[in-house]
Amino acid sequence: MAIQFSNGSVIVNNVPVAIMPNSLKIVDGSGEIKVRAMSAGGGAIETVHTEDVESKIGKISFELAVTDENRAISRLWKANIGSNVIVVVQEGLNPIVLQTASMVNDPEWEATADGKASIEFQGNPTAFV
Amino acid sequence: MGATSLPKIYAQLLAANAIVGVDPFRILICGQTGTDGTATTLTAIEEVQNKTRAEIKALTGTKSELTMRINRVLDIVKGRVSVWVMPVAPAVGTAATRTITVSGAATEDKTLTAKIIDSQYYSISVDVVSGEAAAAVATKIKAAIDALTDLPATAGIISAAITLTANDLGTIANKFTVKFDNLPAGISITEGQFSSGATDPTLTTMFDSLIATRFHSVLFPWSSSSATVKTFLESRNTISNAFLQGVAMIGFDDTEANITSLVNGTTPLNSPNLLFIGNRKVSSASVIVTPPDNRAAEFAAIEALRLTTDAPISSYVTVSSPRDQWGGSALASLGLYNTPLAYTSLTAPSSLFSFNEQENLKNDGFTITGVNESKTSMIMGEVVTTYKFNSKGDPDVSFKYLEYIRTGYLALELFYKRLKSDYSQFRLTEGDLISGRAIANAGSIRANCISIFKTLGEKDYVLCQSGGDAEKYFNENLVIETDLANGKVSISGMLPIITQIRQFNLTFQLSFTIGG
Repeated sequence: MAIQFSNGSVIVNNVPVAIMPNSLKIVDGSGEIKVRAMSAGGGAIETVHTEDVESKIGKISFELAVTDENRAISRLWKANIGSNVIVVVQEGLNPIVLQTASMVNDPEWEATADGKASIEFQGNPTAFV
Repeated sequence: MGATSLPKIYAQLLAANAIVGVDPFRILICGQTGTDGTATTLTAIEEVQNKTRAEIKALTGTKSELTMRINRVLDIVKGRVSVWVMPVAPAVGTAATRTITVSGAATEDKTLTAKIIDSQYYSISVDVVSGEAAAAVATKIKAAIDALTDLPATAGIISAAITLTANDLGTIANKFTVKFDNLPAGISITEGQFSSGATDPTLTTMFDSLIATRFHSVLFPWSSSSATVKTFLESRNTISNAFLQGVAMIGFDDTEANITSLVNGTTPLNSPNLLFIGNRKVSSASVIVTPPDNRAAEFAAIEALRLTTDAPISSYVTVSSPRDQWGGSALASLGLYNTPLAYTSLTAPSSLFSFNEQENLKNDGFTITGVNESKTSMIMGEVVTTYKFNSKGDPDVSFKYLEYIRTGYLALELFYKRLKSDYSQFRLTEGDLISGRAIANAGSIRANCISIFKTLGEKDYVLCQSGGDAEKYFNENLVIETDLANGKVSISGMLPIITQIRQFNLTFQLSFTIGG
């Protein structure tokens, strides 16, 4: 039986954070592979594979409820450029660690009854564990 | 009764998140106080790098071996590294001496030169005129020696024989040498090593007052009493809620047989905390006119600079990689071999240990200070401790090289500091983490350990191997156990450190075709 990452705890700079259910998204930062077709003559092709190093950026995003507390802490994350550490922990699974991270977006805090705001961190590729 | 004050204001000011790093490097120089030194015996002199040279001379003696060695360290670290001194009053001992006998008569005009004890500080030149007899030449040489400032020896003369007597009593000055060059035709001069210094002070209580201060390097000049510093430092290898680990460096020149006997004799020394540094000694000749303890001091100072954040070190590394031109923890994993020793007297390789002798001595646990292939600079050989076997008695290289020790302990120190900082006041649970609360469980601690490990592999540290395979290996070998009743977290695992290129084995087969 395998366990799926679905209900992990998100910890930013060693402080657990309450996030909106089902909003957590993780990009490992292993990068994209680009495949191009080269003409080999007579209709034949040969594929060329290249690793797009520019896309090797780890990302963790999630949504927060619109509270004073969340707005305040997100400002601290924003100011901590390149030094945030985000980990996602779920029992039975290897943790996901994103560090040397910046909060890259300017969150839009929705002033509605079910308002939320997206937070996105980008940094080095996540720990490959 | 009180005033009415509205609106009410309640405020707290929190400190910014501190950046956790390793301890600044600290050197401890042990030595004998000179005859006119005012330092209290066995009482450490702290932060010597902040004192003037005049203040230091007043404390440790105007013309003492200890002051000379302090100057060597301070000349290199230039106030960037913390330097402490542990002075000890000399015993009622015998001073080392060296008699220089001038023979013959000059048959040409020439300027002879001499290096006395340390070529960097004490060199003389004497104009000799054709026809001058030995006694006249000796008188000129003595006058030139007398003119040297702060030489840790005094010169006496009887006819053509000059006797240099060390100012320090005891065995330390037996490591001094004198060398003459550019002799005029017709003149010969005996030179060589000081000898007959005897009776050192009692050293067994030397470190009793240094309980809580860390010394990364201890310069200890008494090779025959190395057990004292070994005991002091080995107890610090286990981190007992204070990070105090360090190594001792002891200058020692001798014959290959005597060095082997000392470090790998009947009962081999096997300490990861002891480094013996030197080269060949020939009693009847002068080999390196820099005492081995001054060479050890030079190396310790250079290594301290390398490990000091943002210290400029381009003079001390042979690579041109830009980040390696500035000191910091990342330099721990860069090879120490080939480090140039600019203050050490340049010596012909023919006077020094051969390649095979150097290899034998390295395997014995002895560090060579040698000369480079172009004979333009003295350099460090592979920097090894006396550690050779693990506790089961099997050959082991874990703590053989100083780079491994510095790299491993720096990595451990980063874990130590980060865990102290990150969990300075934390709850422990086996359950879920609560948002906005300082609370950890085994999973979050595991994640933090992986984060620390990743940091150790990044450009500021370069201590542990980086990349996916290394992270996977670290995680797979990481065991975390929690004991909630006692608030105890036990962490164990493997730390894959970075090492150095030390050897290439090349095998090619000749071919007469490229298959065309």
